[in-house]
Amino acid sequence: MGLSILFAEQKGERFTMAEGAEKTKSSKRKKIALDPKLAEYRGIWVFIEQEEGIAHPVSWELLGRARYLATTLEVEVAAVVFGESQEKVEKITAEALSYGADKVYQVVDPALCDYRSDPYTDCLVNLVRKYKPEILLLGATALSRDLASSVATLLETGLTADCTELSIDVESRSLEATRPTFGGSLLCTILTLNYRPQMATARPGVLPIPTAEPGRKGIVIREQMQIDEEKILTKVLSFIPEPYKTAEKLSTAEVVVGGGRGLKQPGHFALLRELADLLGGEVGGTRPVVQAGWLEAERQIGQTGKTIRPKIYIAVGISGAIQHRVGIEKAGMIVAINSDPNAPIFDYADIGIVGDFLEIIPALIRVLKKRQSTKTELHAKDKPFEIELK
Amino acid sequence: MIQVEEKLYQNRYRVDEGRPHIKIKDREICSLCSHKICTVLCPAGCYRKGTDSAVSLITDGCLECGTCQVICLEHKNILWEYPRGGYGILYKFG
Ligand SMILES: Cc1cc2nc3c(=O)[nH]c(=O)nc-3n(C[C@H](O)[C@H](O)[C@H](O)COP(=O)(O)OP(=O)(O)OC[C@H]3O[C@@H](n4cnc5c(N)ncnc54)[C@H](O)[C@@H]3O)c2cc1C
Ligand code: SF4
Repeated sequence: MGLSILFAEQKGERFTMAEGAEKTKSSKRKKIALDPKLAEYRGIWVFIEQEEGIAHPVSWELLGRARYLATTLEVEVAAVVFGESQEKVEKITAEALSYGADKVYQVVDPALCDYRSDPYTDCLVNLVRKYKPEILLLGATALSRDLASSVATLLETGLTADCTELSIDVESRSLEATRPTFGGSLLCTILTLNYRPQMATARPGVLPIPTAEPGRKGIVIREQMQIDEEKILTKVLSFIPEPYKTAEKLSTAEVVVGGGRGLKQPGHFALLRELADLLGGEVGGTRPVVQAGWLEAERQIGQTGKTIRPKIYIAVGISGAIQHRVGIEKAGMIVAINSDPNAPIFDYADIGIVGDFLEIIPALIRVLKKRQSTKTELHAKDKPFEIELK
Repeated sequence: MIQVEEKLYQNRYRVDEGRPHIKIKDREICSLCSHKICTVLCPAGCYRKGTDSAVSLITDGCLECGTCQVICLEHKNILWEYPRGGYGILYKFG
């Protein structure tokens, strides 16, 4: 990052640049004495997001992180589970306990069947007012981001959305919520020094899911809430499942195979498709191939196309111009296949293969197919990855 | 060698997706054109010689200078318009 430190204060909240913050933390940070009324707030809460009795995995990621934060703060981890029937809530409660919650707050009411801002916000706000947690964490999903913002406004506290890192500043016991800003070009660590609870939503998929310990026990607290269905303005009429959108899948795919002008003919995309299917991924491409009509416009990756964050991006016949690079930089690993050893893509690829894709891709496909057929006999990871070029 | 794309990246654009403001009238003529001067003179590298004798045009990086329209004197094969209002290059401190 290498950028200078930026301080800005707003209602006792402190914004620092992630890097360099370490050094200046104690020296430059203004001491803010926490309002004694707020000092009694204790414990870390995780709101467990569920739809139709199935919890969103980000909830478990957060429980794992909360466990770690709780050790530093020497407090308990609690999960909050809402639902329309005791049965569904119990199932999720058991899961939450197995993933590390010490306590589970349950609210069961028919009005909590489908997510709606009003009843969910009211229930969560009431729970927080009653039990006073120090930290409240939610997933940065469409549902929880909606909930978090309305809860934070009612509680008049600070909320940091879409965090990628959560830690504790030991000195002030405050939550350091780090999130990318300006399209990911800056990392910003935000603290809520004088308001409680400290709220944050965390981006799904960045924190590891802890190993579950089935049968782990904890305290379960059942809360009754007065929910007046008449007063809830939102009514859920029906659910329309989103139609199959392939472009949508490109943004969330774990593996993306991208093709560029180096493919020479549209027909060669079939090879990429085959590779992508074997890896359970999607196909994308550069501006020139979209312009040439070899690929649908929704599959363009880059500055004017999509920004993707797959675990693996395989760039085939792509020079790696900056306008393409900005769309793939967030990939966990970039594999480049290009016949030109001087192609800019090799400057930032994690694995670079210099060669003709017409030899390399079919060879990769052969290996993957062979592996799939022999998977039952040997563990994939025991065998080195070999590619034979004919 | 620094690529022209690197420099274009310093510019601000609002690309009018799917509505290129410059068009090649007849691709056949480009194939027959001997010097393909547009591929040399365009300051943004919008015109490119393909592997065959064709010329490809991608207007995303166009600086709206007008050179290409003027230099294609021999064939007058370029249909040149400005991008729609609000689109194209948006010079900042230009
Ligand atoms: C305003 C603006 C916005 C843009 N937005 C985008 C965008 O969103 N997304 C985007 O992608 N681009 C975008 N571009 C275009 C970008 O600058 C590049 O021109 C483009 O990404 C290059 O695409 P490419 O790598 O497919 O083609 P090329 O640059 O032509 O690269 C082809 C590569 O294939 C290799 N190759 C050739 N044959 C083989 C073979 N047999 N085996 C293996 N490799 C081979 C070559 O060595 C070469 O490196 C934008 C440009 C501008 C000006
Ligand atoms: S107007 Fe200028 S920048 Fe745009 S395509 Fe023509 S020569 Fe290139």
